[in-house]
Order: sequence, then structure tokens, then C-alpha cells
Amino acid sequence: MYNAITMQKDFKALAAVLAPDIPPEKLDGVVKPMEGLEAQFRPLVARIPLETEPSYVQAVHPEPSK
Amino acid sequence: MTILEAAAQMAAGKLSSAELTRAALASAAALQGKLNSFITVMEDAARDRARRMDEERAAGRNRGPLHGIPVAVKDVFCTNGVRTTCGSKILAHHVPEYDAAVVERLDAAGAVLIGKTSMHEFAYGITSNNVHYGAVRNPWNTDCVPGGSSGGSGTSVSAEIVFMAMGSDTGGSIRIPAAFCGTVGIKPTTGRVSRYGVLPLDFTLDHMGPLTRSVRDAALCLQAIAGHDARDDSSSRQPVSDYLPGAEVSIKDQRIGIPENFFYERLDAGVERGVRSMAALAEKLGARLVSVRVPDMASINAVGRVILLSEASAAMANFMDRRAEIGDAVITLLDQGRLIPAVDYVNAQRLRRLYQREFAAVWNHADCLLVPATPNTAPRIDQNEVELGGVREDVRLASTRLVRGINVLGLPALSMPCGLADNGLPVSTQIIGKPFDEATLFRVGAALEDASGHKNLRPPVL
Repeated sequence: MYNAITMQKDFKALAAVLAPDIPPEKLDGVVKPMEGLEAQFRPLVARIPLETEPSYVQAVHPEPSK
Repeated sequence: MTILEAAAQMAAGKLSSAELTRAALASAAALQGKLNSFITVMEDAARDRARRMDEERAAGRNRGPLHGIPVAVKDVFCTNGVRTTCGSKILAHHVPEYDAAVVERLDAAGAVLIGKTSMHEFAYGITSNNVHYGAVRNPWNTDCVPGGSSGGSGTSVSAEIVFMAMGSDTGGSIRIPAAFCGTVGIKPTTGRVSRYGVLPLDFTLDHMGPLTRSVRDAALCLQAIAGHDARDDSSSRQPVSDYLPGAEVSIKDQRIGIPENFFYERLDAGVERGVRSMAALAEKLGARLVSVRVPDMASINAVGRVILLSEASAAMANFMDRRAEIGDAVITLLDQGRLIPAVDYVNAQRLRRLYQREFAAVWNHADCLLVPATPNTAPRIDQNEVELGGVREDVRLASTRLVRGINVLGLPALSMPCGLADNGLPVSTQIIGKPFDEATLFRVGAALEDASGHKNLRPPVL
């Protein structure tokens, strides 16, 4: 069953769709570091409370405040 | 000689900007073959500018400590009418029609810009082994990298070509070359220095700051370039403090945090010895060393990598149909960024918010943190891995391990020399502070510099 938190991504499959111009002989060099990063990053997502906003949010200022 | 010393000599009429600039240009030419510090040298413009600064001084106008001082900027800062390559082949003929905000402010302060320094391609890497403009070499050992991405800024200051060179820092690109080349470097708080007119690697991690020969020089340079700029939407309106520490600076009762986790793990022996000697010196000067626990920095680094990979690939998206013109190391990183889903990017920015809040608790116990800048000394130009504490690490990930997370958190951090390792290469301390508290970093740094004598270190290439 798919689990968004724990499931590791298949980066070769992603590359085939999102970046088909990556030369085949370069693909392992692109994908391998991503697998290591994924293993570190994926478990962190589970700890984000729903109401947490991203650090980078839209800010609108009345002119000419900035 | 430091900026403060040169400024005093010029004020006393013992030295002119023309003389300093002539020496800088001669040194730049003499060392270019050995170090490759510059992509562009602005010889005629620099001589004209120095003459005008001397004329101004003779007429009674003094713009401050940078008046007539030869400086350089990384080739990522736009310069009106002067090519700005970003270390890339794709932008080899890019000639902006405006100056970056930092260049404007240096101009207003009277500095003499002598050239654009070499760098890692697109500022995306830490070696400054540039496939298009040649490898930049470390003045302490020309078989070694100077660090990056602001490699030429590190070498041009370390080799005493210029008194200050501007760098940009997305995941350590000021502090790493400062550490590897034995100079001072400051990455200011997010929003402290305008990014206007700087070719971006990233939109939320890029910071601009100076590399110098002393802590006080870094303070007065930051003073000149800090402040609000309406053209940069991330620019802060927070008032700019007085940064320059006095001649007699005290750190008595200053609470200096020594993290008990992460920052002192898997270090080169020379790095650990140097940084711990600085901590002992701080205690001797009256500071209180406080043991603190910091949030999970390895996870913060992972968050930073997801953000950087995503934003850099977005920034460079229009160059991807010219991939043959981009070096292998950079195109690999750009390809990696294309594989990160938008959901992960947004969640990385949400985790960043959580870690920023968690880290704020550290300041309940300490006024600043004293840690190493890099766990290693400068690697060889052909070196891909480094062994630290029995673990083999990718050179890029090892060199950024102790600095990258600070960009994610947006905190100010000062990198300064703390001696030499057994291999004769510089080692460096990093002092990390509260948001917009650069003044404390300069005060602690100046006290340690005065007491240790680790200032204006002269590399063997001289």
C-alpha cells in the first residue's frame, strides 16, 4: 500500500518522465545522491503539523511600504 | 596590511590610492598564472578611479575607511558595462547595464573596484574548479582548491591582491573559501545585504558578504553595504547597528555556546585543535562557555538541499537546452533538482519554518555559538572524497556540513582563522549569532583575533 511518508521514490522512473534528456550513461550519477537525500528527507515530512506555513510566504504591502 | 591600517596611512598622507591600486593590479597580474583569481581585471577603470579618489581626498573629502581601497567582487555581481559571467560559458558575454546594489554602495564608500573574481560555475559548488575559466588554486598549496563558490574572492584576499572581495553564500560559499584560504568571511542575516543585481543561484538561501584580512575589516565592509533596499523584496528594514569593535574589546561574561551535538563530530584533528583553542582563549578572556544542544542539523542540511536543488533548477531552467555548455558537476545538480516534486519543495520550506522556531530556543542559553567552519582543510583539486572520523564523505557534502544549515536558518555567521593544521593549511572557527546580531559576532571575533594573533595570515605563495 502506498505510504506518502515512508515510501522511497523511484528516481529513475521520475527522470524518464520529468527529465528525459538526461543521457542514459549519466543517469546513475544523477539518481544515486537523490536516493540518499530521499532517505534523510522523507521521514521528516511526518512531523509537520497541518497548520505550518512555508518559510517563504506571499507578503503584500501597501504602496510604498517597501 | 589591513583596510584600517591602509586608511590611516592614506589619511596621514603617507600612502595614496593610486599606489595601492598600482600594487594591487601588479599583484593580480603576477599571481594570475599561479592562482587564477580573476575572470576580469578592470585595469584602466581602476587606475582612473584611484586617481579620482586621491583628488577627492586632496580636496578635503573623505568618504570613510574604504575611500581609495582596492577591492574586488565575485563575478556574480552585476557591473555596469563590465561583463558578468557567473563563472559560466552561457553568460560569457553578458554585459549588464546596471550595478548591483552592493557595487553601488562600495562605489559610494569610495572603494576602487579592480576586478571580478573567479568562481565555481553558476556559484553551484565548493571547489571553484571551473571547466570554462580554469581551476582556482589555493595560495597555501596550489595543488589544493581554495573552496567555493567564491574561490577567487578567497584567493585574492589571502594572497593580498585586494583588501576585500565580495562573495555570495548559498550553502557556505563565503565561509568555505574564507576557511580554506585563511581569511575572514561573514555571511550576514537574511535580508541584511541587498541581493539586487546579483545573478541568483537560489531565491531563499543566497546571501552577500565580504571576505577580508581581519575581523574589523569585515565589520567596516559590512557597515558599508548593509541596509534596506526597496529593489530586493527580502531586504530588511531592521536598523543597521554599529559593527566596528573598538581597539579594546571585552567579551567578559559573554555566553558562548559550545554545541554538544553535531558541530564537533567527525573533524580533522587540526580543525578540532584550532577551534578548541579559540574556545579556551574565549574563556581566558572572561567569556562563559555554555554547553548547548542544537536541533537536528543533519536534517536541516537535508531540508536545505531539497530547497537548493529545487530553486537552483528553477532559476536555471531556461539554460537546460544548452546543457552541453554546462560543466558535468553542475548539470548533474541541475538534473537532480528537476526530479524533486513541488510537494517536497513546499514541505521543505515548511520544515524550515519549524527548525527556525526550534533553533531560536538556543539563544535562551547563549549569545552566540563557537564551532568549526569546515570539518576539513582544503582538499586537493582532484580529490572527490575525504575521510573524517573513519567515515568517507563526498568532499562537497563534508565541506558544507557545518555551514549549509545556517543559510536555511537565515542566521549570521562569521568565519575566521584559528591556526594551521599539520598539513600547513588554514583551519577556521565559525561564530554563529542571533538574527541581525552581527555586532556580537564582530566583537567576539575581534577579541579572539587580537588575543590569538590569527590575522592577516601570509600564505606561502607570497
